[in-house]
Amino acid sequence: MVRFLLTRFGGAVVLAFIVSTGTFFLLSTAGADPAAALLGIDATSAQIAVKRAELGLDAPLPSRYLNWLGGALTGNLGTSWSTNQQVSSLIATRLPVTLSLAVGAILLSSVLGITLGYISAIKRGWLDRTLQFVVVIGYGLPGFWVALVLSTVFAVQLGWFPATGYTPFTQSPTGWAGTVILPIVALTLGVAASIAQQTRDSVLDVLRQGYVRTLRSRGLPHWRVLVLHVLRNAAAAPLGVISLQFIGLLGGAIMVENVFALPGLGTFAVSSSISSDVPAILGIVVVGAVTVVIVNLILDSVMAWLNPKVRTR
Amino acid sequence: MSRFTVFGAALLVSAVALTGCAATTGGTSAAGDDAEKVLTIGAFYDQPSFNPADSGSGHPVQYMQAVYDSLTKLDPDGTVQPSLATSWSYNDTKTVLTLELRDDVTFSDGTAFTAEAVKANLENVLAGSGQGSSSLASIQSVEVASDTSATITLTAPDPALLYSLGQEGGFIASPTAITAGDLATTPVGSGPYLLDAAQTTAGSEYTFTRNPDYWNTDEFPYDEVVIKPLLTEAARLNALKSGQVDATGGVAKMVAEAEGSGLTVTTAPGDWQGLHIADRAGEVVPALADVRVRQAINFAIDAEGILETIRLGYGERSSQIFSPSGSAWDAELNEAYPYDPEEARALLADAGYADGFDLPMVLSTDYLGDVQAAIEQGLGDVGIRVQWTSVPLTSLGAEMFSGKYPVYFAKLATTPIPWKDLQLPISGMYNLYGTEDATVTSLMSEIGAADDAETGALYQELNEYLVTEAWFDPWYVQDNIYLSNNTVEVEMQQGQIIPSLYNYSPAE
Repeated sequence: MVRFLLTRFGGAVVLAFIVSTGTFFLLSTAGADPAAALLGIDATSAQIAVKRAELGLDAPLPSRYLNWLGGALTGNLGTSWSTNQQVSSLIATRLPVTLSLAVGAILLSSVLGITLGYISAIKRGWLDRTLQFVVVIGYGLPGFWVALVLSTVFAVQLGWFPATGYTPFTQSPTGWAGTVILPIVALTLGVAASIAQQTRDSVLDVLRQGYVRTLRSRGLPHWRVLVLHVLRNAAAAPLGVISLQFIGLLGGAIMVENVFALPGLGTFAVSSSISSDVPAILGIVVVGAVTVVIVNLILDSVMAWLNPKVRTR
Repeated sequence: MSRFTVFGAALLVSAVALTGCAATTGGTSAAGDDAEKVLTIGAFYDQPSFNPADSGSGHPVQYMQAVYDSLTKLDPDGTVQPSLATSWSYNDTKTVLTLELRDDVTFSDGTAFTAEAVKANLENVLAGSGQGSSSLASIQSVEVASDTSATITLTAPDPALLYSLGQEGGFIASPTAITAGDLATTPVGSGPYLLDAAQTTAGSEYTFTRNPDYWNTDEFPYDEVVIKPLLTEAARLNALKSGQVDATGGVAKMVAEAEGSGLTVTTAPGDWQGLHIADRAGEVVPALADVRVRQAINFAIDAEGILETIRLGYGERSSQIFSPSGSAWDAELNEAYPYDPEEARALLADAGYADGFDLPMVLSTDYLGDVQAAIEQGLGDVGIRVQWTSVPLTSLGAEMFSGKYPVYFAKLATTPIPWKDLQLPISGMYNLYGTEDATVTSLMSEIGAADDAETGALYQELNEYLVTEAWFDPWYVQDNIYLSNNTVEVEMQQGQIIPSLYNYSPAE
């Protein structure tokens, strides 16, 4: 197990290094002048030159990369060009916001999606067809539209929740809950639809297996067959979808963050890209790469617990 | 009813009950004379830097006005008033400005405000990358005559200087803090409020609490100001409608919903929008050297139609590059170029371009995507074939000013000071090919040397010349739109997209 974890940790480091290096050189040779992008259309050439000197853009590219790398290895991800704040502080402030949404949405959508998909596969008939229809609706509704409707109805008109803003959990747990419930619900619908569909297909596939008939013929209680054998063996595919959706939520909640004015990583990533804020983009990329590895590690651990055959690989 | 349904309902009820106890962010002014008065504003943009050397005009103004005084102060109609500078005078050639300064002001770090602070700040802004360095470009040197007197020497007369010293060029920070080098995140000024770092989250919420030592408290009735960057229209409008903010900037498509919700809508002239016909010498497209061709372009675009359909009527049809609130404005000039494709084709034929010509233009959908079709169709109908080059927004500035595109769409601010409105399109980078004209140069020289009372007629003469010679194809002056609830009274600031911080007061 220790060897497994060390291997994965080493892989995370290598992945973060490769991704950040590639991103650095791509951004630095992309063509657009970051100083001009930061200052806007009306910036004069003199102003752009001052900004370039201020940001160290006149230094040779390898020198700039080594400076950044040296800082990153000691935990210093540099200063954001567009906000003048430390990148590590910005990420530390924004990551909990995005994690609140992503974790909340994935938990809610997992419960909803697995339950609906499982019931749909077991019951079949009109229930299955109804749930299939609901899944299609869930796929089709854009997340930002759902967010707008929820905000308009429950925040503006009914006043049950705040329309914008984020309250940290440490400041007020109930305040935090109030600021994340609507965004989480907005994110859940599409994700739950995807999980429900995958669960349904996976359960149907397992139900067709010969050993399920055998278990039933042996007289095992129906619930035991469905829960301990069918659901457990059908879990691999939905878990894969869940991990992919979670990774997608980390960077893809931008629309919902915008509607509710949540200071998360999504909005930060977009604004940094628009303003060519290289240190901020690199910081986000590094954190993102590490997060992907951690999520996959958790997934592999859960899969190994569910399926002993995986542990022997 | 299934167990799942009951469970789900219980969960929802619990969530609503919990959030009923939740602390809400944002706020409205407290009731009662003695209660703390809090103003919460939704801002279009975040504030990347509190260093005046980095600052620009427009959106950053409220953040800066919270913590800094400016050398002069601008009334809502743009009239320049005393502030840190109590009085001023020019020499006969208007190239030396002497400022007399207040002697009772201290920065929040204890440093006294003197002429040395003025020198340090103006030099800081001039050396920076912000718009202030453009606004103060006429400054050659700043000298300290005494603790309460500073002398500014100019390379040439600058009728807009005192106005600029009330905006992005004139915010005064503690010289000690300038030297320390961390003004970007830690502002140190003499302004009406102090940045409360404990209640501030960069990018989300900036809280400013009253400066107890401020010398002009009456001007700022609020005890606390909170500015929240709300980057989308939906977030700004929802925050205002739900009471999380008291006021915020708007755009045309928000107005109907805002008015339907009982919010107050206030407007003031904003940017002029239209085409810059930069290649007046015909270096890239020879046809543009002929005034008839440039006039044809003015007749070809249905500006009134664009204003009504795309800007929803929020603006004023204009053929001028000046503000309706300034002395150069002449309403009659707006009749010079009605939409008339027939006239445009006749002018092109007279100029020898009956078959039209090709016109390269640069496009970024984020910048002009909504008017691209109108430009292409309008010019195409009279024979001018637009050849678009599409670039990302981050490259638009470099492409636009590369000299490859003789005509381009742009939006430029209009202010109550016509001289300021002339800088970019005539004297600055928007004059891509550095075109000079004896009449324009002569009139601008006269304006620079004239007293304020005499400049109105000169500006109008210059305006008429620019319109007749069709240096530009302005379509309209778009409205700046501001929304507020019934707890606050707001007065728009002419020439500024958002009101100055001293333009807000609690509703009666």
